[in-house]
Amino acid sequence: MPEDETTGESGEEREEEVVLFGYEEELKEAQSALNEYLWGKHKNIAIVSDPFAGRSTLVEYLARDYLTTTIAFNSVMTEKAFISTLHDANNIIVMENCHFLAMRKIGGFAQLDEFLKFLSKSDKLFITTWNTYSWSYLSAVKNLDEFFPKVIRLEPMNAESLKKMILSHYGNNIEYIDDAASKEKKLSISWKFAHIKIPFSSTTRTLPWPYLDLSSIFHKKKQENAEKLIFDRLTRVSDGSPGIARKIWDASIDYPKIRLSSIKEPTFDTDLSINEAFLLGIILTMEKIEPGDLAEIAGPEIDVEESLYILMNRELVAREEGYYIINYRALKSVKSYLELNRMVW
Amino acid sequence: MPNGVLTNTTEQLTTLPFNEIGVETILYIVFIIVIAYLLVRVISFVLRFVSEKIPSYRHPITMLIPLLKITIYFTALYYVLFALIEPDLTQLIAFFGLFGAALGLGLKDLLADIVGGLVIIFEKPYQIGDKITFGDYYGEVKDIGIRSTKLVTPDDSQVSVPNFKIFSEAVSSGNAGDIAMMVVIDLFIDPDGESGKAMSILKEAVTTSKFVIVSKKYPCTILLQDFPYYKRIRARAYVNDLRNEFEFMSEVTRRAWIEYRKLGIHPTQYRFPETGSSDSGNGS
Repeated sequence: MPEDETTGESGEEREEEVVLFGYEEELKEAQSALNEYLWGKHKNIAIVSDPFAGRSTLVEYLARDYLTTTIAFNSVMTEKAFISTLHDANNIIVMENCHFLAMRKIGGFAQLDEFLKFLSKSDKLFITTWNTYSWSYLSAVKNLDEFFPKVIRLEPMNAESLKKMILSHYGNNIEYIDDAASKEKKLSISWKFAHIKIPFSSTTRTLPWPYLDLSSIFHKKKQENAEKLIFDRLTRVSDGSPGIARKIWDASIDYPKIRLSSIKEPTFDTDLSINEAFLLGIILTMEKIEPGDLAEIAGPEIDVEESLYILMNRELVAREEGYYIINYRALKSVKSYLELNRMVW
Repeated sequence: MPNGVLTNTTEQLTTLPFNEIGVETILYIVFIIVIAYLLVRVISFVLRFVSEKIPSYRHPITMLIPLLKITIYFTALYYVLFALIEPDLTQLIAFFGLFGAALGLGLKDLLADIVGGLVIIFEKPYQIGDKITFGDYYGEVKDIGIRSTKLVTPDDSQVSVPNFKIFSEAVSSGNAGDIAMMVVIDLFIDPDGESGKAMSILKEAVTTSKFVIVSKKYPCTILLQDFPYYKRIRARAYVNDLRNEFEFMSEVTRRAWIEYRKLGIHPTQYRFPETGSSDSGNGS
């Protein structure tokens, strides 16, 4: 069920100071669309990002200076009761996690259709947030992008932005320890040229061949700054996602010390069957889903329990408060696997 | 060919500096052939393995295989020739002239296949991994060899089509180098069935399938056509991996018919014009 934040329990959270790092450009873009609306130019906004990218923080920050009604969807919507809330809402409506309005099954688009029908007749401004993959899918299937001319994508953050964001919570008195220097050495490949004499001829030919430079393994290079190494690795492991970076940081820090070795680069077995990959794709696009909804989407052809057991066993999926979610550490591998196999796009 | 030129070419050839062919030369030639063969096998295996791990790049990677094969075999041929003879430029030209003529007369089909193979590699009417119709056969291209193209048909038969046929027969490729491929799914409903609902359900059955890819580049289209005794609802959509072509068709058909039955949309029925009576048909 949706939570109306103007009257719901999350109203208290809105009193807290919201600090935004790294998405200043995106915020400006959204603010400009909002101001244009106040001047009579109506462009509904879609804020699109991966899970853990900080969509909620951005909309919260955006909405604080305006009179808005906020509706945050928390699970798959099966009833259109939320439409009546929209009728009574302020002129600027913030709708979070709109991917919960659709289910990938026959007859699973009814709530989204209702919402789009309402939106197309309304003068109100809708600021909506979507999961990246849901957005791409629904844009193709339901022409979502036609209803939301202003699309703001939250791209992965760089190491500098992640550092700012994390240090805003932990302060600057962190002791950085590079205890994995030797393992950071990289192999380099370059082209060498071999001069080959052609047999039975006086001609000599030059043949290029790839050369693997192993010297970096055996010779210690100039030590890089531990702080830079730690934030670079954190950015790589989290794939630039602020939410994941924060979780990894929290799990790795032994305050005030943080060791490079504590930020591990996990590997996952993603050799999956089409059914397992499909379910994984659904969990990725919905971000969190109840077992019942997953079974409805899967249909009788897929043994959901068996597939989920395999996905959980491989630590690709986790269970949290009755919902299935992508294990945040595996998000990068899951995205890469599903994109390569065109299960999401 | 004028007599003077032929005499001159023959003279050049008779003076070709053939090396003495001993055991060492034979071993060397065998060694070159074996190495070339092994190299081709290893490279093919590695590239196929890598391409299976990265499905999106399956076609570009596998298309390197025929190119490398031809390069390796021609290089091997070059080494073998130079093991046998040590010609100067004029002699080399004369040799290849006569060698070409001999090939043209005696092995013209083989030569045509090799040229056909080169045309396939560079012009790319199809690529390894494509689903094509070549002559009377339909299937996935598994290999483009020097002599022939190997297809695997839907019933898992391997068919070798000589490469020279590329010059005389039309080839249609369902995906033209892409891993996604358009699939056409037809459902035939009773003429009294509600076609609007039937189209809408088929669209949802297609776009929610686990095998589909939908985007601006890969659109899904639903079409209706009336026939005297039935309506045809046709879906044109892209399967995310052409290897899932038939599973995609089957899954969409099954799911759509379940929904049709719930809404009272029935399969087309056999009708007998002379009496107007009908007998139930099996539409799914």
